[in-house]
Amino acid sequence: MKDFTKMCLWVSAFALAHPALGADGKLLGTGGLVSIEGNAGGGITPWAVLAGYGENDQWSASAAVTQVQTQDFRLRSASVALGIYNRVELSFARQRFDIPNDTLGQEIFGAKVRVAGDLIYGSLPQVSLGTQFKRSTDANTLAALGIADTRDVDLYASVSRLFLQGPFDRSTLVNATVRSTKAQQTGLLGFSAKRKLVFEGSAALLLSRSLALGLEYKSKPDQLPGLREDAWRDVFLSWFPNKNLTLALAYVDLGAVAGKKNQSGYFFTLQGQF
Amino acid sequence: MILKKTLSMTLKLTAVVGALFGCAQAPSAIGSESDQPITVSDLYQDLGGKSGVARLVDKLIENYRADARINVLFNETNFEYFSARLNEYICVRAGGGCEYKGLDMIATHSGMDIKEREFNYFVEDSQKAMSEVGIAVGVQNRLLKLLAQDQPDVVHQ
Repeated sequence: MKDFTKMCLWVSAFALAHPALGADGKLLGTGGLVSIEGNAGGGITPWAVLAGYGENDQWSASAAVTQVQTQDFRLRSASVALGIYNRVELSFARQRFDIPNDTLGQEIFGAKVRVAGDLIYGSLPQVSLGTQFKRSTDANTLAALGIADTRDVDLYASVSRLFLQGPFDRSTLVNATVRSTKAQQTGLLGFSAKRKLVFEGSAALLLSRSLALGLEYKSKPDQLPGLREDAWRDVFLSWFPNKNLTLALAYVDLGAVAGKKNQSGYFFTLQGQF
Repeated sequence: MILKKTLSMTLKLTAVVGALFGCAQAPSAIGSESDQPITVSDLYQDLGGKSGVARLVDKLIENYRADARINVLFNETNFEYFSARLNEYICVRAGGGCEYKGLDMIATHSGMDIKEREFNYFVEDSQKAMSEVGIAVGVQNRLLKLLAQDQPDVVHQ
């Protein structure tokens, strides 16, 4: 925790001290967050946007640390993402999931390609296809819980559009994702035998040029016998004082997790983009 | 219960996707010969009418010229001409009932090969200029939405 705080302060100080460092081709806020799974999006759902502020002649790198705390669980994630010419995104996330008396975790290798459209301009919204390879770092612990499948692949398609003049004349970002997955609690509790399609959506209203208020909804397959899983939801406030720093704070409702009901709490993420 | 939930989610998503794909808007006619009625839009009034737009254009040009990322694009610009056309253009786009006497967007930007990020720098400088002349963010967004429709005609010409 001390290291986490120190790292947050270091990243913030660095990002604030250099307000125009690195890739800057996208409009403020339109690089999104690096999600808890490493791909660009909101906190818990992917968007069709690619990580960072690089436009189609720029590279950009993003790094994020995230903590989710509920009554019985804590999920921490460290992730990095590379945006290449606003066309391809490569990402990696390492998650640690503290459950009562034990710890689980997973690694997520991600790739996303923008296949059509644009977030803001022209007639087509931005459409991206993505994949994630997820691998448990604690296969033995999962085996002890009776979960055999500890690695698998997610596939998803996302569509995103920023409406410059949205509700209340505020710019509004809308995202929808369809995901094919076998993951149980996103893979933290391993994988089931059957692939399912799930929907994820989010919307954010830009209250000002550097502040967004948003909602996210992530449905999940719910295929783990005896341990029901619910959709994840959150309400977030995201602040991007410049193109190098993004902070987000959310109230999350994760529903039932690993036998514990009504898990809710906070979500905090801090990230740097260059 | 779950079925109901899924159904309502699906409906919501359908609405969202519908909204996403329905966002293309036909650009209004630019430079059409007009005896347009002198009814002026709310947006044009909110921009401060003719004098408000003139003040905005001065600030826009000041910001573009001061921006090292894009000011090279103005190396051969006649600013008196540019200012007059920009006033007309914003007036037409905002529904102020003017006549635009310049070339269309493709011809105007021909040979400049403006990149996507450069277009965004113009947007940022424009947002800054609008704030500097006291235009509220909501009014800014109404104008930006109309000007952003031209992006495909402006970049890579």
